Amino acid sequence: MSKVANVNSSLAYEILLYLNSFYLGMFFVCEVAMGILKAINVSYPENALLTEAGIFSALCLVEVIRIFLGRRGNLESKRIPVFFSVVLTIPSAVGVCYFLIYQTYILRLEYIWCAVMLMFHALELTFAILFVLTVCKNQQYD
Amino acid sequence: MRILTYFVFTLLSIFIQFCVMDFIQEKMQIGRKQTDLRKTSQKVQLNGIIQNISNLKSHALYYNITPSNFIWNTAVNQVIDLEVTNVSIEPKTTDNPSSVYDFYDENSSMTEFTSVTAIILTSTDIDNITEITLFHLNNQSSKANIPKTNFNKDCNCNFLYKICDINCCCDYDCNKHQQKLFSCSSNNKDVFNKHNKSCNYFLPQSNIVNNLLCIAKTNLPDKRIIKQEKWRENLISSSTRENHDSQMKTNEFIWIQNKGSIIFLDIPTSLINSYCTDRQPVKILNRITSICNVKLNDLEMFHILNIFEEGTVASPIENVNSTAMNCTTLICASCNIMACVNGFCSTYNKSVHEPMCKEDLCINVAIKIDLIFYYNNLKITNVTIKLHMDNITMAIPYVKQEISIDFVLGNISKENVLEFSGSPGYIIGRPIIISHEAANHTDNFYKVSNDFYFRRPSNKNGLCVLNNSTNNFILFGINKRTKCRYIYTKMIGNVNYTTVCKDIHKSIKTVLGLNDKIVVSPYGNPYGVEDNDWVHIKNIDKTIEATGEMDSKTSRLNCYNIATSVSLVFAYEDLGNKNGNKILQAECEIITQNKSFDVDDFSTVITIDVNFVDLSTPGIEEYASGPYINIALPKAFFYPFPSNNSSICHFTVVQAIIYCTLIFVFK
Repeated sequence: MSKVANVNSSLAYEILLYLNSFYLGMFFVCEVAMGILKAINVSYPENALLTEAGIFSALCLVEVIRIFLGRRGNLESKRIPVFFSVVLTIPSAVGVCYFLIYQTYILRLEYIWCAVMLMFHALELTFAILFVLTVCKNQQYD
Repeated sequence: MRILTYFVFTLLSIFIQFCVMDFIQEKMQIGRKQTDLRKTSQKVQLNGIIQNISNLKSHALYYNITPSNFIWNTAVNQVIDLEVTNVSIEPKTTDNPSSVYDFYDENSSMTEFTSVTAIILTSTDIDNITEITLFHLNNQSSKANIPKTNFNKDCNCNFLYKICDINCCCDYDCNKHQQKLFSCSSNNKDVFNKHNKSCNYFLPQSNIVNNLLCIAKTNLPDKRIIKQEKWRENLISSSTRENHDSQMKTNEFIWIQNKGSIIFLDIPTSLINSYCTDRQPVKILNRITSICNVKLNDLEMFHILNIFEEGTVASPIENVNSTAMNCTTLICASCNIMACVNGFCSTYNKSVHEPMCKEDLCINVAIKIDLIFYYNNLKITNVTIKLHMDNITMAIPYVKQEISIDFVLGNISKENVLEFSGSPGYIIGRPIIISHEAANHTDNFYKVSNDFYFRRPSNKNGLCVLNNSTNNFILFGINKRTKCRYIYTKMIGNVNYTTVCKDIHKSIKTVLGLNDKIVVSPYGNPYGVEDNDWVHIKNIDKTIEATGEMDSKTSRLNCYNIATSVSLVFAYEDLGNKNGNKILQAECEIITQNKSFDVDDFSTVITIDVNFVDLSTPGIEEYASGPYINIALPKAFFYPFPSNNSSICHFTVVQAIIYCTLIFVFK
């Protein structure tokens, strides 16, 4: 029975992407719910609500693409999709930072789930870079 | 090697997680020691106030003033005790008691401690204040809580205008003695309380999820940005009119000249919810009724009194050569402010009608305001402001405020008023102006008569009724069909039956308002319209002669070619650019039928159709269909595991959970 000698970073990366895909769904639903709650209860400056809705839609779209590319690249052991996934992490993280810092009304709850999302981004970025660096190495078996 | 790598990864995860948690903790201020407010001597009053406030219904935005959110350290608390019990606070620094109810102000998002400080400061004075004014005229015991304009921007605890905020070392309003009491050192002057932020506002459901729905930070602009119309540009656009250069235009702004400056008039209105959070400009000939909730000391009556006690309404003028903004170079209109109590209005007298609050009751507070603008063709001639005074209790933090704007064409007597239906073109929903005269139609419009609006009978209890009620007016742009029963009430004797039928036909035409010759004003403002430009109604007289005969067998009167329905069609064009609509053509089609009347009941159902056709737009508009976007997540998005078993990774959800658990245990 063969045994992998070196550590395959794609395992941790896959776990993170897998969990992140579910977390993204939760994030989307909760953020939309909070947006509706805020729109009903507090008044927004002109066009602020539309701007935030647009940014949020773009963020979700980028996240979906990022996760999809990351998982595809990881499972197929291809570097290019993972590389693009890493690139997409930047706008995605910027979008999350917008909701963490710059949106009109920031709830405490949003601090938490935006921070968790950023944590996912940071970890996935780390593991994705490790994956890209190690995927070309020859597998060594005992 | 593998264990070492996993260990490094785990450490990295923990490190990142701790960084994030630190950030969250910094924002949430977890672990700060909270002070027991019961130590202060003002315990009873403060708790009472808090209890009262917490019992109030939740509003959209309100400051967090529950005791759990008062964040003071012990030293500070001692300072408060000392400040409140031993140090006399000057009356001018006390806040208006109404500021206790100062719940929302979207433009002062940084003032999360305002209410806290106000409570502390005013707790000694609440019993003593017996009279305050909302208008800041009697300011012996109150002071407006105006947001600071000149302040240290880095100071996060400086909230009250020209009032020393307790425990705020960087507040320039505090003197040395007070700063000494606050234990301020030179090092912490600017950073003291830097992170001492609590929740600004709560959404109403905040109690359910343990304050997680607290709005911890707001990024609102300092003031709502409203597109500012420029007086000079407006004048230029007014002076470059081609056809109606001397008239006011619909939707132009109302300009107020006050102390040498020109501003446009606006009224508060609600934006999303029912609170007055926005302002809407008042435009010429635009009737507005704005109803929204507002704080007691933000009532619009104060703003209006401020503007109109010294200001005047300036009308646009043709020749704009002078740059001076006063009534010598502008056309200014006088303003009558009336105070109305129980429907009886009298001239506003400041000494009599000044609003003020005594104990819990505020008197002479106007929560309903009527602004009536009288105008002629060129300018606004007069403004009447009716302040409907009422007494309200201060226990209500918000009141429903109603402001209505109306425009009437002022004649010689203000009681007999006319109104334009637009300026220059018609506004949709305004009555159509007509003339029955043979000539001088425009001049006759200004003579007060009853027949300057096109009328048609309305249905009242099934019967046709034609009077001067506004229900009978034909309104521009509104297509309508009316059916009602007309009853011929004249007695018929031994006369020619054809004559009877002709008389019935004529009576029906009279009810329809079509017996006389009618010309229609092409514009909502008939000023300057030549007689030739008035629109003649086509086909109004093209009806066949009515005839009649008596059926001896059935004893019924048979009338032929009796008018039973009429169709009025108005063709118009949109003049664009605030000019309204112009009637180009009017056509009337009278449809006749043969009717058989019982000798005891000469009645018939008549139908009136009014239709408006816009000739400036195509009859049918076809819109392109929306793009079809076929977007679907790939099936393998959530479960992208390859079916090929020879894959390197054999990974299941169970393994993932175990792996996560191991990481967690390592932490």
